[in-house]
Amino acid sequence: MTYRVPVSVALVSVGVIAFQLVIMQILSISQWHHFAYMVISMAMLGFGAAGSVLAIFREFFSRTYNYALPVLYVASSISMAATVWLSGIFGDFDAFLLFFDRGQVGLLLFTYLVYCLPFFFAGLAITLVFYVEVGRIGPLYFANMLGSGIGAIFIILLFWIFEVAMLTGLLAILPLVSAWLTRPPDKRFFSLLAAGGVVALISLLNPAVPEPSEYKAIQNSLRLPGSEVVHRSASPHGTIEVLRADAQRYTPGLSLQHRGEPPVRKIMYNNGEYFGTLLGHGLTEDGSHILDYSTRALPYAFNNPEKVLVINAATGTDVSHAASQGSEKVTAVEANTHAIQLLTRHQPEWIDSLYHDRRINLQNATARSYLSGRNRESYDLIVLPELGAFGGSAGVYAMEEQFHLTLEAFIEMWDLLSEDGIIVATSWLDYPLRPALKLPATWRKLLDEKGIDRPEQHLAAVRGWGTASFVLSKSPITQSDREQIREFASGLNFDPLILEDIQQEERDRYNRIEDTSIFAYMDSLVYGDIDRFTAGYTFDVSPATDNRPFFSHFLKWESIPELRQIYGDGELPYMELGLILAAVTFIQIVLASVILIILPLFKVGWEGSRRRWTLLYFAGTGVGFMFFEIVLIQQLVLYLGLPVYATALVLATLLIFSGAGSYYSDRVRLAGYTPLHIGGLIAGLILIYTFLLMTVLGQTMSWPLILRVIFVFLLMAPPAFFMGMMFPLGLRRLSGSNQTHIPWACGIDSCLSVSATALATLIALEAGFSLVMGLASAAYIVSALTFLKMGSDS
Amino acid sequence: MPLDYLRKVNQSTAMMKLHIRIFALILLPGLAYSQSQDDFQDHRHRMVTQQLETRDITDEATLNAMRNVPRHDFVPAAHRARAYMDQPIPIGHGQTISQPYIVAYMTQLLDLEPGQRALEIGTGSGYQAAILAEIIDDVYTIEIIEELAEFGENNLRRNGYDKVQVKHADGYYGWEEHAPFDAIVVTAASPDIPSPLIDQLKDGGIMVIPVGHPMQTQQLMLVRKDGDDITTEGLMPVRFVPFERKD
Repeated sequence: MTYRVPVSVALVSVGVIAFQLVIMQILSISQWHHFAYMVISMAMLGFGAAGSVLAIFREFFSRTYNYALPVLYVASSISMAATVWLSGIFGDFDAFLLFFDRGQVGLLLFTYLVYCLPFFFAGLAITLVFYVEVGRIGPLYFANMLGSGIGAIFIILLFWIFEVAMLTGLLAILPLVSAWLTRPPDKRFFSLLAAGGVVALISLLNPAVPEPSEYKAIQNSLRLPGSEVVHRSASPHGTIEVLRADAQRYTPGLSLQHRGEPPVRKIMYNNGEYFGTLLGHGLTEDGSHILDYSTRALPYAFNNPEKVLVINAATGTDVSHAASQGSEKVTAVEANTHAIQLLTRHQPEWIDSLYHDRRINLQNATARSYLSGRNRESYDLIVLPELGAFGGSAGVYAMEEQFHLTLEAFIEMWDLLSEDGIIVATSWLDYPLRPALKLPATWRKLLDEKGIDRPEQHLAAVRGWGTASFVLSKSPITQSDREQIREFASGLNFDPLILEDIQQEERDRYNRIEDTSIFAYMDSLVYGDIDRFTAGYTFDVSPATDNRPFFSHFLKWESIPELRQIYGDGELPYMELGLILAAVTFIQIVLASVILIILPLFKVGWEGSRRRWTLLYFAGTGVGFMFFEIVLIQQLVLYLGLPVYATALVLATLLIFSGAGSYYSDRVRLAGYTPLHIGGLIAGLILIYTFLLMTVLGQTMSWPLILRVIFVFLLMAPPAFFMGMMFPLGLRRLSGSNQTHIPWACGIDSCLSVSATALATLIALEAGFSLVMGLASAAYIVSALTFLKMGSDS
Repeated sequence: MPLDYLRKVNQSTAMMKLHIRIFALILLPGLAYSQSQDDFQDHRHRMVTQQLETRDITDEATLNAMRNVPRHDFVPAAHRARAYMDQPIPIGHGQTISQPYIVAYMTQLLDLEPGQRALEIGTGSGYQAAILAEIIDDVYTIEIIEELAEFGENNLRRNGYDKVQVKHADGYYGWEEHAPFDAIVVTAASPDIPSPLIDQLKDGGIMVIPVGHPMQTQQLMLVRKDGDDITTEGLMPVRFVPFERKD
């Protein structure tokens, strides 16, 4: 059993991490990313529950170790393979109806339970190994970390090869192999193993995905008569589906002056969310581009840009618009490799081979990595993707980091503009006003930072019946420019919204509004005190920054009583569903964690063994590790670009170096102050990273990718290595004390890790990532200080 | 993987789920919520007095229509108990029946008089069409989703609104045979004000479009046609002017 147990731990760890990413993908398809995160956070508590169960039934499990371990592996395999099928047996949960239909609460609890099971069984197996074989905890924890790290990379490969629905069955094979490796010498066990194999096989042959919520964007297409999915393929970026329907028209808030039928085009969805319309060249019967009839044509009304940069180009609607305006070179930046491959290699005809046009330079990168990259050049026009959605999105994207809309991103764009260059962004006008205020607020801040005395000379906007387009000009907008803007607006029944010499009466000539406060808001944003405005507005419309990159987060906690009064309780959650669900997740996790941590104490006793120090130590390691990991992933994804690969790389590196640290921890003497010093060292390193990381990354952002990858390895190695030592050192310290401590400590670490994940996002949302890093450092100081007190008196 | 295969897989899973649901229904009898017609009538009157008259709904024809139409007969049975609450109610297919106040507000805006003709794009449950039919005789309604067209038509017929003409078709093209219309109501699922609808609007006619997420109080877009001049007007059923107040 010398090598078999660590190998089995490593294999099941590969399976569990990969499974976690698979169900994240599955739930993102059927619901939204934040719901996936909510379910997974709760499911991960399965690990915490495992610690609690082992603390209570440790004697039984350690007595039957040779049988219990492989049986737990098989149980994990079976529950993994059957998860999706089981979760739907009472009907599919819909996150959107959670605050409307109480029946959804029952479905949600059942969903939690089902998704929790694979983590519970795997967690119980791993914790049992740590408990029984604590003498070699270093190598075992190393196997756990190494397996997890490999799992993060391995699943990226599988996402390219298999349909996501098949992966649960495929991954279920890994715990079965673990069970085989640790099998007892008993023929009856083979029947159980065979049963596990059969379930995995059924899941492979009969893959299932939950029904998408009826409020997902893709359902708008699926509901149309004769709609047809003409393409479906999966990758680590998500599942791309292309739908056609005869009544599917491209009408992005078109002017009422537009005559003729808008183009009927296919739409590309990624994980059920709108990715882009396959518009192609987009020319109408009169030879103009369809977007010429929208407010998005504003920059072309007074500027003839030769070089255009389109951020998050997706299917190229803004790219073809720029090309139709005679631009000589259009650079399109898009991070979704899968979509790019489809649109350039496999199905270029979907967009009339637009990306093969010699004028178009397609770059597979994130906006930020491109903006700060080596091949930068100046642009006459930078086009941003549209903000918000028709009718609003009920705040489902509130928790999404949008680094291309931060103040720092706009400063980078500004620096790339040619002398007369402009930036354009279009926002849907949903009430109460939010993105349409945050954008000009951010630009005004930028102008202030650039020392521009008269911001009104650099800003302009026009408003249609559904959208408003804003431009930020590097040079002052001239009188002649303003006349051209007025002519453009009047010709299409749009109204000027921001112009240096704007008259009140011209603001709502074609598109009247009962509530005219938008005009006062715009004047305040252009001429007034920006900080005073954002502080006084009911929603958070202060600029997003790299430290708080949540452009679509608007809800202020202190405004909730006022909003309840205006809209009522039933409607309040739909103000910002993403944030509300994140808060609900956190509360659920904390409650469940408290129960899971306290529950075993009823069985094993509350006093006599310095439990509070154990609690503090493992709470510190759990919280510290996760806080640091989450911030590091955010910052390094921004640094490396291509989020899917960057996340996998960062996660894998962090886990593998932590694993190496835990392996080495066997050589660290428990006596003396060494563990204390290690904790202090980690806290110090985190503090250094808090203050210097962004600066260092900013300085090296223009390095070639391979050098940046190596740099990331070197950056992450020291803290990850030392952080990996803390958990096994703690367990070794406990091994001489009360036997109940080890599984209890594992449970604390798991529960607090999961709670920390949810909490980190909420803290970052309100106070930024720097505070999260500061708290990570504080958590390790707490662990270091409690080490000497822990487990010594029993 | 071939799409046909995936479809078969989904079908077999769906059948399995169906069997389990039927089984659960057999095990859990008495879930159906029943309430007498008198109760509903009381709720309806309370809805009018508490949710409509206290706000800015003053048009007698609208208030009478809201008193007369049995809203509970236009919502799915599972949500019947909350039919008269001040909230939108899901009717499936991602659609909702708007909250009573929004329905009344839209109807009042249309300012319909007997003898006029109205077109509705997006029949949904049929409730808005029934309200219109209480005020005028010529009501036409189009629904693009076949199941909803059937659901809405059944609701209308069951409640005696036989004159309302229902068509399952793409609402983009309007209903040219019966044009021009004095008023058009568009339940917009896409960011579009179709030009054929503007063409089918009478000179001086108005079009009302609720805009906003279906689970929230929607704003209303009013489109007026005055010769070749077309203007829009954004109306605010819920006023939100925080900055002006604090400044």
